[in-house]
Amino acid sequence: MRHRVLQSLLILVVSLVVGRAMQLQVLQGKSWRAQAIGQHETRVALPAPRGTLYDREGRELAVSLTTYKIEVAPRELEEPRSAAQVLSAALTLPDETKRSIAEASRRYIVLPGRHSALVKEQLEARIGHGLYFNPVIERFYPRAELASELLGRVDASGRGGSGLELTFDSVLTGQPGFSVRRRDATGASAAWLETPIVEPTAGADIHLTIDADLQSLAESVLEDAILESRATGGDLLIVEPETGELLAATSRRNGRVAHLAAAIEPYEPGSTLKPFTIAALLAEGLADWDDVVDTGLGTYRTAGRTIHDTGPHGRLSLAQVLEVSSNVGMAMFAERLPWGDQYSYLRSFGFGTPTGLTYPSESAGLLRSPSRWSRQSGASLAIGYEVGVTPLQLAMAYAAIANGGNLMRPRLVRRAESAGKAVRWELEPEIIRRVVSEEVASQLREVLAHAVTQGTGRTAGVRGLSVAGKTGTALRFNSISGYSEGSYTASFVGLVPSDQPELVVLVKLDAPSGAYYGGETAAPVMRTAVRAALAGSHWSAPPLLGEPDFPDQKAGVSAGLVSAGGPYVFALDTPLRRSGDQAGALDGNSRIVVPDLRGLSIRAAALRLHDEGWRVVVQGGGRVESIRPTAGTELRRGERILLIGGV
Amino acid sequence: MTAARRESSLGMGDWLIFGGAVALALFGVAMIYSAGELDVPSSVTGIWQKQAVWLVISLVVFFAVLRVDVRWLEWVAPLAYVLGIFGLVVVLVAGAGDGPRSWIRFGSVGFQPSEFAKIATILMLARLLSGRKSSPQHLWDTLPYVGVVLLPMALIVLQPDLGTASVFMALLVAALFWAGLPASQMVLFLSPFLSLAFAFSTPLWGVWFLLLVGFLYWTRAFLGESLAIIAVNLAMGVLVRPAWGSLATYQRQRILAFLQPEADPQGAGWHLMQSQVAIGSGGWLGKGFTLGTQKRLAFLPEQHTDFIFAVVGEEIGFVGILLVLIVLSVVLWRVVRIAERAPDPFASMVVFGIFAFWFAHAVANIGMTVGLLPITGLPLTFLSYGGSFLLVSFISLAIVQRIASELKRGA
Repeated sequence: MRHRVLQSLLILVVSLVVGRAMQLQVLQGKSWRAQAIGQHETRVALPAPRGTLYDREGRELAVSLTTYKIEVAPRELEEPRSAAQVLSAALTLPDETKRSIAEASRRYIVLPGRHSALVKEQLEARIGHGLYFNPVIERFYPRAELASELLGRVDASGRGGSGLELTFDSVLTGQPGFSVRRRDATGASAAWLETPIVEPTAGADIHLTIDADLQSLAESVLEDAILESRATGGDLLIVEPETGELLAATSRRNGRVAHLAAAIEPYEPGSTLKPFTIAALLAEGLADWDDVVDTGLGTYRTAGRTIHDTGPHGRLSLAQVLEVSSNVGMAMFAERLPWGDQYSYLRSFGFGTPTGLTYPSESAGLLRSPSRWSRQSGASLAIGYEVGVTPLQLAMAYAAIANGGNLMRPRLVRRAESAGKAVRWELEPEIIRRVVSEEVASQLREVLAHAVTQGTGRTAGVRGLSVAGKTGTALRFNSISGYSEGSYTASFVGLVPSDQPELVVLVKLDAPSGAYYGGETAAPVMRTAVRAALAGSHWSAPPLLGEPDFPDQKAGVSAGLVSAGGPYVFALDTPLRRSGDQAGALDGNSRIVVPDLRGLSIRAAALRLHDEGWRVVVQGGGRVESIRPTAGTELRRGERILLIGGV
Repeated sequence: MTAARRESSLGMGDWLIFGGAVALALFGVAMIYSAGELDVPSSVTGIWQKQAVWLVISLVVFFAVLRVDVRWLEWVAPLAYVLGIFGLVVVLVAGAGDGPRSWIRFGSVGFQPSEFAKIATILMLARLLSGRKSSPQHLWDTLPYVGVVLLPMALIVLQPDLGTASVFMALLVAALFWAGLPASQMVLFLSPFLSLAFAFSTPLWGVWFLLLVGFLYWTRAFLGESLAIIAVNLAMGVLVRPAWGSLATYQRQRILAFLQPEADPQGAGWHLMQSQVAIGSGGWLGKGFTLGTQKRLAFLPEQHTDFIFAVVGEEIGFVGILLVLIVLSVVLWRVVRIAERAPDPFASMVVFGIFAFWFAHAVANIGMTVGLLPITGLPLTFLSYGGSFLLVSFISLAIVQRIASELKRGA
């Protein structure tokens, strides 16, 4: 009996335990294992660096750096007191924090700030256990505000918030990795063990078409011009017509730089639109350059409205109409053009449709179809009213004239490269359509060149270069008061050099005060920009030091800009003084010694070198750190000197 | 020379018990070594060497005790009992250790008088019960033995160490069972404990109480006896709440943790949860010797003592658990067989007491490890770290072997 009881008891106990072990280990094994892993393994996300944005020369415009948030577990420190000293000295901690670390009064302390990999290495070497570094990727813009309207910015979460950062967010964003941290039972005061890591994959780098130097020039030129002319805003675009690449693009509105308004905000362009109606007339064979109309005293009543010129021009050929920018002449010629043709040519040049720029919220502008035109619309469109175009659309349309008749898709981005420098994709120059024939384009350039030498754009002329271009001065439309006298948009689009243009430069100033004609405000800005660009090493326009093609007649604004000594002064291609030495510069024999300018401000140094007759290229800013060729070298006047700044 | 002769010449009664016990102890040293292999600093690291030294000492003592005659043990039992009680008093007065005072220290060596008291109580109970002319028939008959056990138990409760105290209750129940207390009386004897357990739920206790009264009527128990049992059961049912209030916090937490381990996995249920996580995650074959992650990262508490079995489960898996259970069962069953065939009542009572001692520890320890019983903190027989415990286990092993060899010689 007792034997049975004991036997049963033993069997019962053993089977209970075996059954329980079976239940735990075999039946529920999977979930216990999961629970075990959950207890001691934590996935820590490793942020992936965002791709870099480069300019066309491979200079960094936006980079991502890994910084570290530092956390301390004072109770894991081997020597909390000395560690507190080290940390306090390295990171300048508040006394309270320092005390908490030294006395280990808190389990876990997050230290303020974000710190570089260097700080991390040093602290790891000096303290060792008890410090935790959490990588945080931060976006830096090495050139500060340069091209900020183009690049855009990232939001707080590190994703693209605006501009190219937004457009190419999915390309720039990498694939985050993770590391597995094993922790022991005490949790925070744990020994982290090394475990396999899935490395993060960096985002792709993007190479832009922007030239950082030109962009910098364009920005300072535009800012000065806005100040000088007391305009409310403005745009400056530099486009390479053959490829459609934007070399520089900048916009200012009410003293702010937010977006590339040049692609977003349409305006009524006024006279700068005239060449496109003329192109239609020529292409359709409805007019010839030599056709003459009588503009009389500069007023013309048509379709119940009077169109004015700035003065009486009398009889004008079509070419002259464009050169002097006669509204009356344009209105008269436009009457020859059927509405449908006028519309389709403007449409063809890209007005009323987005250009396809890879930039957020580009505007299509406004070009109404003929079914919605009034009787006045034909004449209005001929002189650049009743239409909304973005500066970008206008620049691309001029680029079509410049490159022989092809409308190009504007290009901001050349290619994306993955982290291993393998090209992920490439954007080729893209011809959207042929708009006009080579011949018409070339004739237009010729006449536009005349407009610069003889017509309204004289102030845009650049010494040594032939410039083709067109001014525009449009009354600004205001939703409250309609078109108001005294408020204008001044613009100028230039093609340089005029015979085989390598650059299209568009300058637009909103509501300049005082001199409001495009020729007086916008054109000199363009001229300054071109002259500035000439000094750059990236553009192959022939460096000519000859006599100017034309006298500086209305250089008021221009001279003001030059004497203002803005930061672009270094890029002037010709000496400011010593015109007497020009001959010497040209014969190539006069060599002088490069002075030692180290320590001088870049601007002062550049001015001085200009005075001596050299051309100057600048890298960096602040004070001069080194000169190439080095001081003491004998160098011909007209040669290029490189100033390297300390920033 | 035959095998039987060789055994008797060594005084070794049962090679299987000896082999099994030594195998478990050696396996225990290995597992204690593993228990010290952690990824974080631990006081357990290297402690296996101490256990190995204790094992050697225990074997030496084993062979010494093997030479002791059972009659002499019977004669010395009262003295041993008095000494045991004395040790327990000393430890209460001058004990060392944080929390429960259960240690007497001699320099760097500590000893737990409660371990010695177990053997002493087994001997005392055996001597008293084997001296009876007939087996106890009524609860009244059990009172002296209850007194003998209650004294050391009370002293141990004062330490306080409920787990060890409960082992004494197991020794008493086992002794009464082996002495032949009728089953009905056994039920009545155990009824207060059941009342205590059921008192947590008033309806449950009510049902139990009615059943008990019915049982008393059916067995036609004496009136006084019935009244006493009803009174004790009532007291248990009513007093449980004040008694609960008198428990130490950690004891209450242990009981609560057992009843509902998921309620507070970071707090009181932690040990129980971690033990189950360790065993459960071990699977069929375990994670490999020394490689248990729960142990390595210090999630498993008391991995060298209370939860050594969880280390076995985590690192050697279901197979390891099965092996340990098989060896333990064989050893225990062989001990029962010796108790059954012992040449005299005293020897029989002693061997069965030792069975109860080992069995109680094994069941309490493994039961808590796998989550079937509350946490009592009792070490696992032969496996767990602990010098006093190992030594006392081997002394009792020697007594069993001695009796087994006398049995053979007699046969």
